[in-house]
Order: sequence, then structure tokens, then C-alpha cells
Amino acid sequence: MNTNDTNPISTMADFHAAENFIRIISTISILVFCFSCVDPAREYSPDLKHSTPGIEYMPDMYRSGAYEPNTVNPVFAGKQSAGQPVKGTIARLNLSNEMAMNKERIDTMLDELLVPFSYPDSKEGYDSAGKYLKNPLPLNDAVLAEGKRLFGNNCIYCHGAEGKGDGNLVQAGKYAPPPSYSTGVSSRGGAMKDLAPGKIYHTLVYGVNMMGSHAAQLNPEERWKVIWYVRQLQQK
Amino acid sequence: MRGIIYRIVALVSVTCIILISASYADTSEGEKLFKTTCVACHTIGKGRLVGPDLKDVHTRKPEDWQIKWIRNSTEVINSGDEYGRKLFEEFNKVMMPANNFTDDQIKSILSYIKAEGEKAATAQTTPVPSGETPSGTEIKSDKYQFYLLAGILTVLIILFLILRNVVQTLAVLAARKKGLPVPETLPLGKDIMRWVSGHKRIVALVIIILFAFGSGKAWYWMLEIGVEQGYEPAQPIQYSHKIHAGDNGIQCVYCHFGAEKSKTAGIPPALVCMNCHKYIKTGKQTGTTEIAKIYAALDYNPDKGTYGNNPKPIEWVRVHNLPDLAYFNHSQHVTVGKIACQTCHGPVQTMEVMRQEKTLTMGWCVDCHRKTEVALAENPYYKKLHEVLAQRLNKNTFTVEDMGGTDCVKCHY
Repeated sequence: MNTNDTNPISTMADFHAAENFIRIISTISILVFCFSCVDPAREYSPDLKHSTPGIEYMPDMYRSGAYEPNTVNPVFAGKQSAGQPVKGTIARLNLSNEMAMNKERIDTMLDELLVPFSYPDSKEGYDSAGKYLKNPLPLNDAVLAEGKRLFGNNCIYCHGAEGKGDGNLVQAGKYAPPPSYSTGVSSRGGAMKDLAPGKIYHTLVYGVNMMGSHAAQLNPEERWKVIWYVRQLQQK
Repeated sequence: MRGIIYRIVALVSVTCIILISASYADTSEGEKLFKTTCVACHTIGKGRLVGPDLKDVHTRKPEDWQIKWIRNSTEVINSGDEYGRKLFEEFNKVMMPANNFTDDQIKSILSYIKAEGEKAATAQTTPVPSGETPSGTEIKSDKYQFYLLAGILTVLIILFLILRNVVQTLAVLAARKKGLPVPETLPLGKDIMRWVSGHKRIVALVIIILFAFGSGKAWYWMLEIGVEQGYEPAQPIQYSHKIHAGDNGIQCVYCHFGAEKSKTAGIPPALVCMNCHKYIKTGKQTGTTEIAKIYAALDYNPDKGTYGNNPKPIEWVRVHNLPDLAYFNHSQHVTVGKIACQTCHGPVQTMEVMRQEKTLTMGWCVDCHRKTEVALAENPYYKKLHEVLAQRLNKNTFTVEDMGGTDCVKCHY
């Protein structure tokens, strides 16, 4: 058979094939488009529940090569990245906005806040803290407002909004009632309303009886703010 | 005669009522005093706290000693009482504060302790039925469904193969009986291929539909890469955010105190757990098993109240993880932006098991930066900057995007 004879037929066949191919591809594209509308802000539903992290593209860019505060760290004992500060060191303070802007007092405040807390966890330490430790922060509305907020975040569950020892956990019978700030008697002697700021600070740092230490949650500046607020509640 | 019986009955019932109500009043006063004064340091049958467990305390010392001790323990110790001094030494020299109670009040407290101690003893003998966790049953039913479907499918395939053989055998038999030429029996694969070559259009259509569907699925699947919405790993301790943050109303920042001050919200140290679980030793849902894991992690002895020196940190599984290629700072969002934790983490206070509620994709971040207005009120540190921005943008309120919150380098650098 002559090759010239077959040429027109084969080109027609090719043309039809190409036409069909385009049709198929466009149908597929439309279908893919319809199936693939995914909302990045889609709501959670229980169908999405899974217990493994799933696939990550280039995990090197997902998981930090350096150890992060929350990651397991084989270098340190206990495999913790975030460890305890070295004994005897003092954390550098990040004074809050209000304090940092108080230019007149900042130097003396820094001196007072940077002194390490040297009173031991004992009755003697408690008494001498009450005697020598003074609140370095000035009393003003901003400090009181912040103190109230911190009190609400940390103390209110047991001590109650008014410091009467009637927080929601106490009322629910889940936790032992602490003595009222205004009418109670301290387990270490004296009325609660006469407690010196230094004694409250000592209790915040070490805890007493059923109250645990809150030194991790509150830095020195925040402790003194809470204490200013507690001083107000003592008078109520 | 009848009158006398009436009187006797009346007298007996009246005395009974008086006696019962008197004893009732007695314990209830003791209960009130115990729950307001003693409970801060003592339990009845639940182990030692600051002071000793008071179960069966009436067997330890005579009542007159108890009364003296409760009223002013310091005096008793100073008078040289050996038992008192031993107690004082054993409990880390923590002095029980003096209590200004009358003898009757102290007796009522002691009778309440005795009654409670007996109640605790009987309660211990009856075992508490343990409930199944709801999430466990859910997973089970899912698995059952899968196995059921797989089983049905297998049965159907086997049935199809058997029937096909039967049909072929019958056809051969029928042909033999009628004397017609015996039809050749093809193996399964060739049989299918013959059907396929006879029905090219149908096969092409099926392939196209399958391909479209498959590519749609694949497209979906690719969009899921790196998106961990719904990630709900099993944690080493069955900690319930619902009980702690929901039912008990404890603020997020009580435990995740880093969120206000640093880049990471932080995993709370186990000592923060101990602020409450020194006292609360049994959980509502899991009893003592899960709380015992905290004690084990800290090498804490709940009976003696002492810490050992062999702590093993709890290896919590991280749920929310932004890729390392994006910078995220918690304090910037929580303290400066005043964004509620739930905006990004979902209703954590309702979750029994922690999960990732949001997609945490870049589109999701940028979407929020476009919509959220900058918190101008009560942000004194940024007051001047906000004033300058408001002037430059000629707007009273502006979004995070307006001040460059969607620039690439804001998060990627």
C-alpha cells in the first residue's frame, strides 16, 4: 500500500483523537474543580478526629532543629528543655508597661525587685520577712487594677472575690476553706487583717498549709501587685 | 388503763425525738466546726495533710487530753507531754493554732469525727463500679462498622465465585444433554477481559469517573498535608480540661502562665498541679490512678507528704504546633492583642481530651489579621504608636492588616 494514500485518513483520525482528548481533559478539570473547594477556616467536626499528627511536607521546616521550650531535650537531665534556673541566679526582670513608664521610681524599684529572696521557708524566715520586706511598688489605680486581675486569675478559686475564703472550689466542697482576710485568724498567729505585706509575700513564695507555692506563676512584680490588692481586701 | 398506755407511749416517743434530735444537733454542730476549722489541715480516713489523719482519733488518747490538745496544743507540748511532742516533731513542727472552743463543742467535733470514720470504714468495703469512658466506646463502634462491611464484602465475593462456577457447570451439563458443542470454560481473568473488550464505552466512562473522583480525593488529601485539624493524641495522663477549666472555672493562665509573658504558653510544671492535688487525692472520673501519675512524676509520697529526689517529667504530647517557618508569640496576642485563648484553641473548657480545633493554616491566620481590629483601649505602652498610625491611616479604628499584619516578614523571617 502507498503511504501517500493512508496519510489523509490518519490525520483525520488524529484530529478526532485530539478533539476527544481535549474533551476528556476539560471534563476532568471541571470535576476536579468542583471537588476541591476547601475552606481554610472550616469548622471542626468529630469526623476530623485523628490520633497521629499526619503527613508533613518537608518536616525539617516544621520541627525546629534547635530545642524549643516544650520539646524533649536529650542533653539535659530529665529530658526537659525548660528547666529550673540555676540555684543562686536571679531572673532578669521584664518590668510591665506601667512600671517601665514610671521613670522616677524605676531605679529604686529595680534595686528592690532585683534583690534575691533570701528568707528561708521557716517560722523565723516568715517573721523576719514580715519585719523587713516592704512593698516596692507605689499604690495607685493601675497597680490595684492589675492586682485585682491577677487575684482573679490565681487566688479567687479558694479565697473568693472578697477574700472571705469562700471561692467557688470551697463552696463546691472540693477544697478546704482558707481563713478570711478580714475576719480570720492566721495559722501562724495573729489576725489575718494585720498580716504584714512581707508575710503575705513569704506565703506566696513558699505556700503554707494547703496553699502551694505560687512563685512559678507570679514574678516578683506581680506578687507585689496582688499583695496591694489583698491589703485592700483585708480592710473589708 | 388505756390512758396510762397512751401516756407511756407519748413519753417514750417524746424522749426518743428529743434524744434523736439532740444527737443530730450534736453531730451537725461538730460537722460545721470541723468543716470550717479542721478541714484545712486534717482529713478523716483520706490520709495525712498538714496534720494527721483523724480517723479513729478517739482510740489514740483519752477525751480530756484531746480537749486540752485541741484548745491549745502549744501549752500541752510545753508542759512536757511526750505524745504531743512526738506529734509536733513528726509533722514538721507545724503548730496547730489554738481554738477557742467550749468542752461541748470539742466533744461534738470528736463525735462527728468518730461517726465519719465509721462511715469511711463501711464505704471502703463496698467497691465502686468504674464507668467506661465515652470516647472508648465511640472508637469501638467505628471499628465494628469497618469489620462488618469488610465481612459482608468477602461473603459477597465468595458467593459470586461459587455462583459463577455453578452457572458454568450447568451450562456444560445442559450442552452435553442436548448434544450441542460444549462451551469452553474460561479462567476468571480472561472472562473479565472478554467482557471489557466488548463494552469499551462503558469501561471508558467508568475509568473517567473514577479518575475524576480520585483526583478530587487526591487534591483534598494534598490540602490536608501539614493541616492537623482534629489532632487528638492520647496523653500520658488523662487530664480533662472540661473538669478543670469548665466545671471548676480555673483560668487558662493559672496553669499556662507563660501565655501572658512569653512566646510559649508553656506546659505547667507538675508542681502547679500540686497546688491543688496535695489536697485532692482522688479524681471524679479516674479515681487515684491518674493523680498518682503526678505523684510518680514528682517522686512525691502522698502518705508522708514528702518529695523524693528522683523526679521523672511527664512527657505530654504536643497538640498545637505551628511550623517552625512561622514565628508566633503568645504574649503578643494575649497581652497586647487581648485575644481570648478560645479564639485560636476552640472551646477548650468543654474538651475531655485536648484536640486541635482550628486549621492553623496561613489562610486562617491572615483571615483573622484582616478582620481583627487593633485593641486600642487600655494599651498604654502603644498609645503613641496607635495615635501616629490612626493619623497616617486617617481612621479611628484599624485592623491588624492596616498596620502591616499581612506582610510576609511579619511572621516569616
